[in-house]
Amino acid sequence: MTAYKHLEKYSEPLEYCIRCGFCKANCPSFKQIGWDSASARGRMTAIKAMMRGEIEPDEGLAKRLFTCTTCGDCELHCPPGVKTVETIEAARAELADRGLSSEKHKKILQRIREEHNPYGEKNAGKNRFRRDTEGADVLYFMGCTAPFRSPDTVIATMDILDAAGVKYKVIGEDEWCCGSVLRRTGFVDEADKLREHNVEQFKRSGVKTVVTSCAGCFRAMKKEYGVEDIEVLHITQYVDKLIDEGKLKLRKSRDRVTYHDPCHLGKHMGVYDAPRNVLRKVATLVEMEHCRENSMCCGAGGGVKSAYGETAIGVGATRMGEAKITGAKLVVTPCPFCKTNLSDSSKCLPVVDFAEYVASKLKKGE
Amino acid sequence: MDKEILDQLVDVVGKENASTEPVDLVCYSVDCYAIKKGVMPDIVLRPGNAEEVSGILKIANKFLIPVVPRASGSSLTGACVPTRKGIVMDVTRMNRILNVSREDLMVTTECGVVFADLNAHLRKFGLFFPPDPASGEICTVGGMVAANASGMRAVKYGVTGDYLLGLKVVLPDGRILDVGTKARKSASGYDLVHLFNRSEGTLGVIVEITLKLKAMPRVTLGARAKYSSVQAAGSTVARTIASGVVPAAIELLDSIALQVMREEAHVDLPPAEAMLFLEFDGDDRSEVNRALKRFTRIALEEGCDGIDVAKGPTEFETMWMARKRLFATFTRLKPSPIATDIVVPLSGIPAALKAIQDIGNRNEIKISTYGHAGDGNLHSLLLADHRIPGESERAHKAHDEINEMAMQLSGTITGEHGIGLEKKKLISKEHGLVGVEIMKRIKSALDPNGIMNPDKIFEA
Repeated sequence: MTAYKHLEKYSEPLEYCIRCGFCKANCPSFKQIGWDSASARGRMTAIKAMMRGEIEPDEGLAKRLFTCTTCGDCELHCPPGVKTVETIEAARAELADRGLSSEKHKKILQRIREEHNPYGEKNAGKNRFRRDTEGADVLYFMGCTAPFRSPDTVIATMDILDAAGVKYKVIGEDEWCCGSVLRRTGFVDEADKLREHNVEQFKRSGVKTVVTSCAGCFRAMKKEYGVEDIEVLHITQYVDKLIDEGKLKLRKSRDRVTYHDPCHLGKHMGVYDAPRNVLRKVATLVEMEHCRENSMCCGAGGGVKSAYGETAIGVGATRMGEAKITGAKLVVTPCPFCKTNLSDSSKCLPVVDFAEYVASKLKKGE
Repeated sequence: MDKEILDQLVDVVGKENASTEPVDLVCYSVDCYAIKKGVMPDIVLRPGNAEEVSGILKIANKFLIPVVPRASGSSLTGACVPTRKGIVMDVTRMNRILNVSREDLMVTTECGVVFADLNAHLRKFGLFFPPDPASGEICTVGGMVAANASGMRAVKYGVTGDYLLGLKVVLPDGRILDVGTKARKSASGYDLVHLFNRSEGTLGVIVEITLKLKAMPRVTLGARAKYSSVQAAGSTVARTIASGVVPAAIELLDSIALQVMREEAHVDLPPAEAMLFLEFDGDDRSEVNRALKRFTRIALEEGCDGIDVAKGPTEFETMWMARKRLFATFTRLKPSPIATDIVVPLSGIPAALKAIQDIGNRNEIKISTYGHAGDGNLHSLLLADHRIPGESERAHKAHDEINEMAMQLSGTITGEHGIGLEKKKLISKEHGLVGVEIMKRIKSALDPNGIMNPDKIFEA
């Protein structure tokens, strides 16, 4: 096999993919694009062929690999247990090393290098939410999408934490991009630098718990940061915990809502119950046909939204169609990225961030 | 292929439905057949209707270009693997269900509709298309017709061919042929509908299918029977079917298959050397309970160690799902398993199971046997790792011996996977030289230039 340093450790496990195709059944990008090469089975076949020198890394291969939303549905349904998402990400790193990233992804890399966030905003803009609470043992990690594109999510999260009497910090511009977008799109070394910086900030802050309102940040910090002495929680888990501990009081409404599982929270991290526990306390929850482990992707993940917007919108529209059928009046999701793409994909139902929705149900005076 | 011809082909389907990108060519050079790597085609085309299929075939026939039609590419025998340069035609864009008739218990569908999607749609009408291939989540109706696919429900409900009423087929010269009627039976002339059933894409491209359907049973009941020997399980199957009790599914699994389900697919199964997974269905609870009772009596007489009955319709769901994915799960043990697909007369099941064990021992190959024992269809999985010198060769030898054994028992080498590339060297042994000669004449009559899926079923 040709030397591919990122893929080296996946060479042996790849032998176990026999192209059974069960990975295709619910693959969002395959369903949208239709070519077999846009399914996990096809991507594994192509990666193997590249490693064997049967095909060259080129733009055609890049297009097929970078249209994967990395939702992980294929991995859950892979009988041989091939780590398809990791393998695709490693292959993307090979292509990125060879300059085959899309211009959009290169631009994101450039912005993160310059401003430490993928939107190219002055990272000091995060300081408007800065909070230095004496003795705080919780850090609220805002991420980048919420403060720069959906600030109400940040405000709502802080309202919830305040209502529960949580002593917490927000470190403003010292909080850099979590690195998820770079790791997903093959810029591994740059993602490592962001991780090192953020871990250093966590340690310096002296907190015991990091809470985030972004599913992508949650997965990155929990899975890739290796901070064993600091507990990382998603806001859905934290709210569930605060309610259990009697620290947060919410009022029940007559709302009929459906819940969209972000892949980075659900399929990748197994967090399914916490958001549902909370939503059932404040509304009537109706499930979509595909939910929990079988949930469908919003279409935005893995860098697809930025580089292949049409694919992302197509996948999102399918998901919104499922949401509409439930008869719910709104879709709640705890990921700003899912919220943005689902909203962009269809106007058939309003899409509301989990924290914003929960904050709207805070009991007065809490 | 000349650029001029490529351009003509692209014009038929449009640029977005044609590709000469290496990534696409390599992905369409394989299917689920693990052994043979195909030749990368010159172009992959994704036509959206019969007229586009016709346009492609007219060009291919004129310039003598091989065409490999395929849908999901779930063949286990290399039926979709190109052996020569040319065209791979992906028909999955033709995925509309055209008409469901509740009154006539009938559906007309395009070839690229996925089996599971079809049945999800039919459920709304209280109907279903029973053949239930393990790959049902991804395989298409067109592929099922081309391979005469079936699965766990074949014991009671039969195979794809049993449901075929009519087809629209694009012939190799581009003519569009409508065969069959919507009548539930016919004695009119040669049976051209079933000529295309199990033709594996060698006679034309099936683009539209009319199927008979069944009303969904009102009651289903799952069960599993535990045994201390696989032969006892096999004898139970033979006696059960002979007694007139016909479960909707009766799957046999040996100790290795059970071990893989427990350890690799994490299915909670009780200890046993062999098991039968069963499903009974019917119009009411008493009918189903009667069948279970009669089965239980036979099973206990054959040495069954106990029967678990599902407490609800979903209790054994995980078990059935894992069973359907068992073949692929086996690759966790060895990456290059070879599957047999023999069918033997029911009375021959115990002898076949014994012979398979002997063949495995003789060739020093670990073999797991499982399958739709109720219709005599046994899938033996020969566990091989192509990276270990000699292991794949020994597995192939054992594979040949199992197929020979099936033919000696008056059985067949394939019950539902088809011939493809894998079994074509055995076709004349099963059908005889005259039989194969007739098949070749039929092929030649419909496809005189030999462009359709060459090198499959028999040597050109």
